[in-house]
Amino acid sequence: MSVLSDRSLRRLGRWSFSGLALAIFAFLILPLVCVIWVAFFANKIVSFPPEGYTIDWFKNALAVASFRDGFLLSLRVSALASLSALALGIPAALLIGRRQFPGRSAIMGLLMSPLVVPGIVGGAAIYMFFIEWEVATEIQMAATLPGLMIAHTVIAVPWTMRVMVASLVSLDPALEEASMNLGANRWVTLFKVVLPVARPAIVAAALLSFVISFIDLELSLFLVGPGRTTLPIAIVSYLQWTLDPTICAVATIQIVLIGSMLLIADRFVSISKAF
Amino acid sequence: MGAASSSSLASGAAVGASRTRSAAGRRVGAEYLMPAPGMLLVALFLLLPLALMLRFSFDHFSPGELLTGAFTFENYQKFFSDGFYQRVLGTTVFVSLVTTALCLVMALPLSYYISRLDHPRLKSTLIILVVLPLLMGNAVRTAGWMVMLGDRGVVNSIFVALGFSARTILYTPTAVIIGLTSVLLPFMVITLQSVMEGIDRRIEEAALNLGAGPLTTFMKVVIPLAMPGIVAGTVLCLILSMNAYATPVLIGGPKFHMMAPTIYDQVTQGANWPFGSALAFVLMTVTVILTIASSLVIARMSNR
Amino acid sequence: MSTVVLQNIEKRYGEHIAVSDFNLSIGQGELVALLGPSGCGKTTTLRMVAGFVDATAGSITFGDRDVTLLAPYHRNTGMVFQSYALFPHLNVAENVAFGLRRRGVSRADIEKRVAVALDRVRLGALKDRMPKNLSGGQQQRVALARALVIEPDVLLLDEPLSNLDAKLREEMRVEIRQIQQSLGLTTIFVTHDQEEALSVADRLVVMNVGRIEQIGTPFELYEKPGTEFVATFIGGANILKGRSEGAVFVLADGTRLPLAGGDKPCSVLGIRPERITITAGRAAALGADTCSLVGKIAVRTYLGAVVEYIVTLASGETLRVREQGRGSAHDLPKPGDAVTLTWPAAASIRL
Repeated sequence: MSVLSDRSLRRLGRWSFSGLALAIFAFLILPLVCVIWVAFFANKIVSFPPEGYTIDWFKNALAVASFRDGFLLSLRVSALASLSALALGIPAALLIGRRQFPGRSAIMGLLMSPLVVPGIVGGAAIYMFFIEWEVATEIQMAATLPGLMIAHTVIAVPWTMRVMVASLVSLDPALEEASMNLGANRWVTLFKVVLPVARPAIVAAALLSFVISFIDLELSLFLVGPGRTTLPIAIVSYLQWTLDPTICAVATIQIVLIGSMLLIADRFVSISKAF
Repeated sequence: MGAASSSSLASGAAVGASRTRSAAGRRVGAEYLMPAPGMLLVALFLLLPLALMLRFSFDHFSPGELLTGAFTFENYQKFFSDGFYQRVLGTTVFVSLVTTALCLVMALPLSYYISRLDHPRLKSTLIILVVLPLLMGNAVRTAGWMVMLGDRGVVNSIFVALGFSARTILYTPTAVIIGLTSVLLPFMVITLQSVMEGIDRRIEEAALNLGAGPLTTFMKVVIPLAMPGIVAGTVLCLILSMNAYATPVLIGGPKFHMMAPTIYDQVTQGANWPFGSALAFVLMTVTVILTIASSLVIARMSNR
Repeated sequence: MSTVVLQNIEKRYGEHIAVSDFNLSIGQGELVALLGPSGCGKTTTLRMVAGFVDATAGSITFGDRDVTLLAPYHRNTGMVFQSYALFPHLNVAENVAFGLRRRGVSRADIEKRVAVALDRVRLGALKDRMPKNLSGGQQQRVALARALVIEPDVLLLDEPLSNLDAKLREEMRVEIRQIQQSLGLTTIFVTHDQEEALSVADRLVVMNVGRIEQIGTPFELYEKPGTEFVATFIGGANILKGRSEGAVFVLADGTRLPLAGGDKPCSVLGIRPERITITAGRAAALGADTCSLVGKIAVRTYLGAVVEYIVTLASGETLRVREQGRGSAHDLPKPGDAVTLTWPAAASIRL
């Protein structure tokens, strides 16, 4: 005879299942939590438990030129890439999200293809292409801001498309008809109805593209130049030699920046839907 | 009233009527040009470079020269005759398979847990907390695992506190697998969660009603129904782990070799573009084969 | 307001013909309902009037204005969509003002006309609300106000009540009809609900597979349906097949039923379920102009005000009979009972 009733067994099972799920969840979150924790450690050499807490490492982080410049370059590249991706992606999404036509999925496939090309492969290919380009035209592309921006735009376009198409597909076609019925032509309808209604998606797409560009590592590795490094690359090259609270402070800055942008974006359009 | 309003419309009407017989469908041709700039960008700056790379992989390497114009299989021959690169590929495949399997095993309970939460706010918070690490970037996330696994890191400190001796975890294949699993787990969780969300709870209740216990219900009902998500998540994790760069470089250390860092070294440091390109295409080919094979295996397992 | 004339309208999609031979002339201030099962072409016809669908042949005129080739935004129709299609980023007043803005009406006039339109649908107090904060009935009124305020040549209603619950639907039906009549709006009303169409329309157009079956007032369509489709679609008439021999209709099994009103030959009779009287057992002496059939009750459905029977005839055919409630359950015939069905010969509709 079991001492436990069916009900208490089930309750036990449910609790242990929740415990298991949360442990797996912790596995996901813990490294980031630790990075933020270490960024406030008083001791220079990372060891647990800490001897005390300080915010000096953040000042230290900003004093390192490669981090400061990397951060600024990343901001610039991501902002430009995000805007370019919107400029290219919104018109495409307006067609693909609202019309059915032969070849629609082929066009969508082409625009989404940067997602399936691995970063290292794509980066190497673009790098070699830029060098060949430079040989042919004497216009330098590799290790320049425009070159980096173009490459980042390529990887941001699919994310813009995903968010925008998902939003426009769910747009009631009767809204556009209602607008035209009330005397608005196609252009007025586009600017007075379609785009305003899709505004949350546009904001979310912009933020998401920015983040995708900001955190890119593999593609950028090939396209940065001496003294012209993005923040993730600066972090990786620093980490190859040292692990100290300074780098954790840098990582914390990135976590806070990206985290707040994603939380803002999520208020407009549920981000998990973009995956 | 309405005279003013309809007269302004009537003047527009006259303009409209002079066009061809199409009221709603007119001037749609221009619309189809809207995706063109984006397509041009992708074609010019991604597909064309990839085509160039394919060409490079058949080129002869001569230091200091770009495309020599030769057509040779020597780069692929070099890969298949040099044991070092085959071991690199072997390590990459091994790490990817183990990582993907771990991701699947860990993601199943977590995504099921999230998909069956009754509390909408808690659910969306958990989903966001799964997605956030994904978008923090590989550099930052790998730094996290270095803090965790370093000689004086969190894990070793716990070992010491429990009376064990500290051990080297960082710079071992195990560490790479742990780090990579954590990096890729969110992809699997998000993919599975969205599929499980779509599984009607009443189907599970039907199974329970028919006498299946919770575990049996999960194994025999939920997992088979989540199969499309399992395949998609597996394929995604395989692709991403086969091509992982930051984790093997930082957590694996200088003596640990996987394909992506090797390609990077060949193309930049060695400046051996033909061989680097060949490595890239070997990697992509093996990845495609692996994803197809794993989909088939999963499909067969689920058919039993 | 103006008259609306649709002449020989046709719409094909490749080989598929969605609407053909459509001729309809709607008088000023008249409400015409397009009625038919889904896929009959009624919505396509409405959308051709609005300009969202190009007619492949024929012409559409509003008054003396030929609009066949006009874009939707030059037609000056006011449409209420099934989903209401309120602009989610604009509040109630801005939604209603949208069409006036496009027409370049002055700001002060817009304000005045929006206020009048919202008062007409009793929503003046909610003018600053966003659509998502409105109930279904309120949204539907905003949609109506938005279509009315531009003073359209024709008001187009696409299943406007189908997203409302039963009680609200009846209220809105009355309200729409009152507004339409008080403004004298030429209106086309698309619905698949025959009761809705009968109650609201001046005239009905019954459509089936892209063609007009019959045009007429509610009374004409119900009492004098022109085709078997109309007879069954509206009011669900029973159908008996056979042939007429002078003033007698002979069924396949030889049963003879008297016919009233002329000798026009016919092969199908329609009988409304509520015109049939049901009597237990065999009926006694019958008048010469009374039709009678015997059968057995297969199903009895108690619906409160009426009781519905499905009666199987000796020939195997079934007839539906609807009777007023009798106030006592005991004397109702039960399933299995043998009954006689009778109806006056004048109630048989020749089809």
